[in-house]
Amino acid sequence: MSSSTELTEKKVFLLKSLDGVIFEVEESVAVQLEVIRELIEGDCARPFISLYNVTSEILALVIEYCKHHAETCSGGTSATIADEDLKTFDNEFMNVDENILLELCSAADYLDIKSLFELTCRTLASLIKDRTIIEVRKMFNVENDFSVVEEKAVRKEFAWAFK
Amino acid sequence: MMLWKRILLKNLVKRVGKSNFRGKEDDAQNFMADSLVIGHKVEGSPRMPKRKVRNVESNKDKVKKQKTRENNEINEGYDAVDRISDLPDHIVHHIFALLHCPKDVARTSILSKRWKSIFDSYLTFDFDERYFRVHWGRGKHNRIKAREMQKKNFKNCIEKSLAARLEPKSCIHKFRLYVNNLNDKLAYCMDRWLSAAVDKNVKELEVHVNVKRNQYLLPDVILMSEAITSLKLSGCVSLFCFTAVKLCNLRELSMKKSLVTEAMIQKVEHGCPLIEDLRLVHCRGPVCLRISELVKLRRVELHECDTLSSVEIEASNLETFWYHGQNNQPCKFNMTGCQNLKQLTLNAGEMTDEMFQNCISKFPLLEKLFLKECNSLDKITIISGKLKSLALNQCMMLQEANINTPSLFSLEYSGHKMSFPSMNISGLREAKFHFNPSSKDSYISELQKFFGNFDQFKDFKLIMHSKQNMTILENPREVRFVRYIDEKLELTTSKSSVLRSVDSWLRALHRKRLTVVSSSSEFSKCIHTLIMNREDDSYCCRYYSRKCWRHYLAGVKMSEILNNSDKTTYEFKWRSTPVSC
Repeated sequence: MSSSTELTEKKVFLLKSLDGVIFEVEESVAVQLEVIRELIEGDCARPFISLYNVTSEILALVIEYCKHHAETCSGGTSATIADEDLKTFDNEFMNVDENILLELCSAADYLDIKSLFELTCRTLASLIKDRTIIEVRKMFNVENDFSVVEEKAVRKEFAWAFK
Repeated sequence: MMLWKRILLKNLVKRVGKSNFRGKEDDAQNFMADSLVIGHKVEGSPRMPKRKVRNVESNKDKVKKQKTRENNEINEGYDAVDRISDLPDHIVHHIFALLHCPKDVARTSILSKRWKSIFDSYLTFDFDERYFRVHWGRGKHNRIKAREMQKKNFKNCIEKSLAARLEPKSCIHKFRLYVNNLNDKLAYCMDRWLSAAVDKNVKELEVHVNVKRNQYLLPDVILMSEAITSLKLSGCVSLFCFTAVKLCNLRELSMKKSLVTEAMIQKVEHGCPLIEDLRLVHCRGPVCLRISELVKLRRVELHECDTLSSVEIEASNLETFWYHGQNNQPCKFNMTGCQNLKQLTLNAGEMTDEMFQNCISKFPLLEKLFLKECNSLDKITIISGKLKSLALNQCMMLQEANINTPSLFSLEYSGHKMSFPSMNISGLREAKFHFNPSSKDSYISELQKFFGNFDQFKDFKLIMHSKQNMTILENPREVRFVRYIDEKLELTTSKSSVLRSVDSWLRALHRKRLTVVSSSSEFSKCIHTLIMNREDDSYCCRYYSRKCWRHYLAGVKMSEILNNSDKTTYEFKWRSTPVSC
């Protein structure tokens, strides 16, 4: 394949984050954002797309994630190795602090990236699972706004869950 | 121009409605003039809108507190801000679903008022009598009393929560009910609860009845529901009804430990034309399973149904078939119309060579074949250009397996001895072998012959392991220098899967020795890093309450023998309690 055809084949999109940082991504990466894919398929995508709900810090992570997934899936390796590879990458990718994780989760929901949404939700679930209420409150800074009487009533309602 | 604008606007409104941020349509239109905008531009500081202000009237002080916190937030970054409560309800509901345990989900409602309201709007209802167990003292009298108490608490809880959470909703997603000890009174209540769920157009319904004698008959309204897509019954719940079954949107039907009759299956076949997934587990009753009208069928699983002796399935879309026989009960298969089958799992002790050959010849597109405990197989031949995955496990009488499968990617074998007289597996990337050899000497020589004979193993790395020891050979041919061979063998071409194997082997703790034979320093360096550089990875088990092997390791003794191919040995010492990082 000559280099000129390669150039015409690779479409590039510019994504602008909430704080004005512009990211250049290839089409294979951009289509993983379901929001953008819908636009591309509807033929109304412009090369310059502003994403006003995602900060540059999070967008950079999201693009890194999509890039890796796009490369691994098209890399010609067989499905099983690619699967294992992605699992390792995903595990490492989730090694971030809780706040980034939450932002990634809402970004994935908003940009409609199903695999990243599943991954972040699964990680959040594993953080909540098997932890006491006090531990969860502390980890995510959830403020207890129940009065003593109210809390007692809720505890009574769900007494079976605290056995 | 107008067209894309309209589509975009539609999308935009959809997104904005779905996410946390509220936007106005005309605002959005302004931004579209110069570029493509997804979402809604937020005034002021980029981090500002993340916090929703709740209870404005009722709690003014708190709003103030929140505002000061927001200002601090810009300076201090992320610290001490509750962001999880700001996630939209549908995300938290998804996390709830992933928690799997109804106890964990219910417990979150005590976190704060916001979480209580998230739980109240959750569309899944899960009631399990086992969580209401009351501990009794000695004596029959106390036991009866405790059981009554348990029933009463359980019923009260359901009644209350249905009144508070189910009543206000127009539709719900899932309803699950687990009941111990059925009596007439309870059956009457169950009818009422399940009908209430059906009234709210429940999509997924699960009913478990854990009793020995009584049978619970599902109320007729359930069997006529248009909304149900998934129905899972377990224990003494019966699909039996005098009228017809008509679940026109049912996709998934699973019956476990239930009584199933052929007439019942026929009724299902007529009344549920969209079934894609059918599972019968430990079911009594059917002698012959005959299915020909379910054209959408994609997966069938039959596990240990002890009366089943004949399976006839004609479903051109069937992709997965799993049969697990019971107590060597012979079973005939007639699956002529399933030419699109991709995955076949058989655990059939009475299946003969001829039956097997006949069976797989019907599936030209088969990609995965798993055989386990097929103890009547003696000599088999598998020829396929499509097969990617093959497992032959514990087929104890198997003497010979001739495999001609150039696309095969992964191979698994466990049994007495090697028995592959002819093999064409040029596409192989990973393999697992597990032997229970009769005599050690012959076993080692057989193995050496095996790895020497097949050129296909040239690029592989060989991992051998038992409970205490693991040996890794970068070149499988070096097996001839090894005096003792452990029972489990793994072959792989990828370096990362070697590292994963070492990691998961160490996970079981108290392993003694790891030996690496390698001619390339790069390969041994990777393993060295995995074992020795563990302190750097302080994040390693942040998500787990149980700590991994790194936290239990007290010390590693390393010794090297350098010649043609370097041999490195690591010996491990363990401690009984983990060190936290």
